[in-house]
Amino acid sequence: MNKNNQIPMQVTPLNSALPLRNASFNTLTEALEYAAKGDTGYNFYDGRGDLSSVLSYKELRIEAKLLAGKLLGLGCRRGTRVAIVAETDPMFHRFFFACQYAGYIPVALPAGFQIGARKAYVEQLERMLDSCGADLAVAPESHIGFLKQAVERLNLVKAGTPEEFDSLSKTNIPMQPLDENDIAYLQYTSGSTRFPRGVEISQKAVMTNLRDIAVHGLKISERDRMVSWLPLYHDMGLVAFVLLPLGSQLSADYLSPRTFGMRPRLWLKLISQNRGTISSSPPFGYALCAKRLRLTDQDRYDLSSWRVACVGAERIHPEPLRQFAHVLKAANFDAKAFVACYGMAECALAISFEELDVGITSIQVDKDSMSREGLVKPLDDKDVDGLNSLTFVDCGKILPSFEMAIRDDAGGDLPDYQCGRICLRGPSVMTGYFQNPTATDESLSKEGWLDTGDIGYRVGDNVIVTARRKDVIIVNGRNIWPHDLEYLAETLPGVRFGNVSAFSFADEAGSDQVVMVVESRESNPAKVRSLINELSGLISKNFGMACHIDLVPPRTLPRTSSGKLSRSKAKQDFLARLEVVDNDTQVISANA
Amino acid sequence: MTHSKIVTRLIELLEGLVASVDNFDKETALVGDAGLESIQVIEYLCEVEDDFDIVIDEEALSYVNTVGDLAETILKINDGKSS
Repeated sequence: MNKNNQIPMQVTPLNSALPLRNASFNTLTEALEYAAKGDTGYNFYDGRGDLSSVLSYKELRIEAKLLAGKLLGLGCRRGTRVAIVAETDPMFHRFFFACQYAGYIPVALPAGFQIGARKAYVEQLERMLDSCGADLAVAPESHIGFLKQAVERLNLVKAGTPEEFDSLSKTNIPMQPLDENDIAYLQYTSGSTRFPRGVEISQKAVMTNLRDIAVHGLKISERDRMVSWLPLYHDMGLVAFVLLPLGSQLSADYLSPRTFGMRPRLWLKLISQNRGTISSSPPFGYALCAKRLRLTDQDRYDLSSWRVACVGAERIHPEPLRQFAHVLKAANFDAKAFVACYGMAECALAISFEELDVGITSIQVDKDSMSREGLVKPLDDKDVDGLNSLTFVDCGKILPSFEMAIRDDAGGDLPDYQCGRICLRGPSVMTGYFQNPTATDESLSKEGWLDTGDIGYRVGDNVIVTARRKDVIIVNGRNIWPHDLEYLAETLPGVRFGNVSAFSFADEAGSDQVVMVVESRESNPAKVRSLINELSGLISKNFGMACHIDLVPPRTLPRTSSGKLSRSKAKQDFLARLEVVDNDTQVISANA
Repeated sequence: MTHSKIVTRLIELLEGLVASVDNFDKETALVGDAGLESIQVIEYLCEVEDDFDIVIDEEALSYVNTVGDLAETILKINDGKSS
């Protein structure tokens, strides 16, 4: 971190000058000890795309150990949770690895900002800090105001800026780094914001997954260099772009998610200039980039080095990817670099990768047989007429350390080409949800099978995901739990508990639109309008997104025989109403 | 630059992003009324920062709901610059 040094800052090189070891370590500290013998490391770029700090693995090892000694001086127990507000900044890496050396468990907290959403963000931090029982918490200067507010009602040993922790006294307390059976970190990416669940990933789980990814998924070599703008508090940002480069002694170059959102072209510039070979994004990132490109830009970039462009984290629509590849063909982007992948925080990160150098493989299947019996009948191009087919993307072969089963609702194994719940077992699967046995028992069987909640089918060892987690709403790569939206509506006067249903659907352009159907007795148009406005306001404040509110008379929402609300049926009914009332479509597009 | 002039400019900058800015004023909520998705908000902020040649930090943004709030924030940053 030579921000204020006299010597001009230098980007860490491509070559570590060490024999490549693809994550063949038992723990993250072992991986760092090895990487620190070489010359590679992390490089951070600011909002204008200029290099702002460099943290080599060598420096990281020294600084993390020094900081670990200071943290130990606070006298917390082994296994203490340390919450880190994960801005894309060297402080995150320092604290994450200081925990590894000190025997503490790091927990990355979101550093995302939504305009006007102060209250919602502070509450989210508070719930996460509470759920993981953090004793220590750190946030960079930019986020310390939020953190200090979030810890007001909690009993933390210490919460502060990195500088406040750095100013603690050095100690010589002997260090006992986390070992292979310890938890490596807790990951909050999935689940409701109201009831956050911390995925417990052991050293063994993350090291196995890193090895699988490096050797089988990405086939990493000494010629690789990683570039990322993904948030470090997401599994893809943390595992693929902090831990993976370290595990394989590669250099990594970062932009913050905010910089990417504001100036997506800087991503391409960074890959061009540093000759990046591996960089990933959820589909929306490629779409955003393609949208903001100007035709005159193309020859400013040379993306020929980019050999792996992973696509994951949400349902994959091939169209925006085709567009991205088309616009950037002149910049030497090869569409075969796209690699569809499937993963989740509950498996550290990755479950499957499509073969390299193939590109996106779309599969057209018969819609009728799929929706009636969950049976997949692939169609030849000549048999596809647009109305009778559904398109899915092959997410490739599952990584070798996993066992996969596709199961029906009764738990029976299903054969190839039959849709069911995707279940996985293996050393990369989480130990459970932290201090949450109920949630753990719901997803993990005694035999170690994880029910992912995703729906899909298999063809041999290949997995094709047809629907991500039941009911989850995904907007621009962000998972939103319908319960959280419905809860907001239920806090309004005149809306009863259980009389709300939230879901999303893909509009004609393929973008996801969020809808909330609310039962209300209100018929006075002015009051109806004001209820809708109040609710939209609440949603935008809490979730920073637009939502179409559909107010309907009582007893409109479909219920199952046991009286439970059926979201899928509510969605079907809503879409049917849309088709009848053409004007509604305009309302949707105006609101969304 | 006065608050109302900033508001006018902020609304002009919204023009490319939303269908119509006809009824927009300082009370317009960026996410709710203007209908900006969170990713569009970021795109919009980029234009605002470039246009006013400022950087708006997260802390300040977390209090911004309406066009008027944003104008207020910009005014404060500009005051800080000149003082």
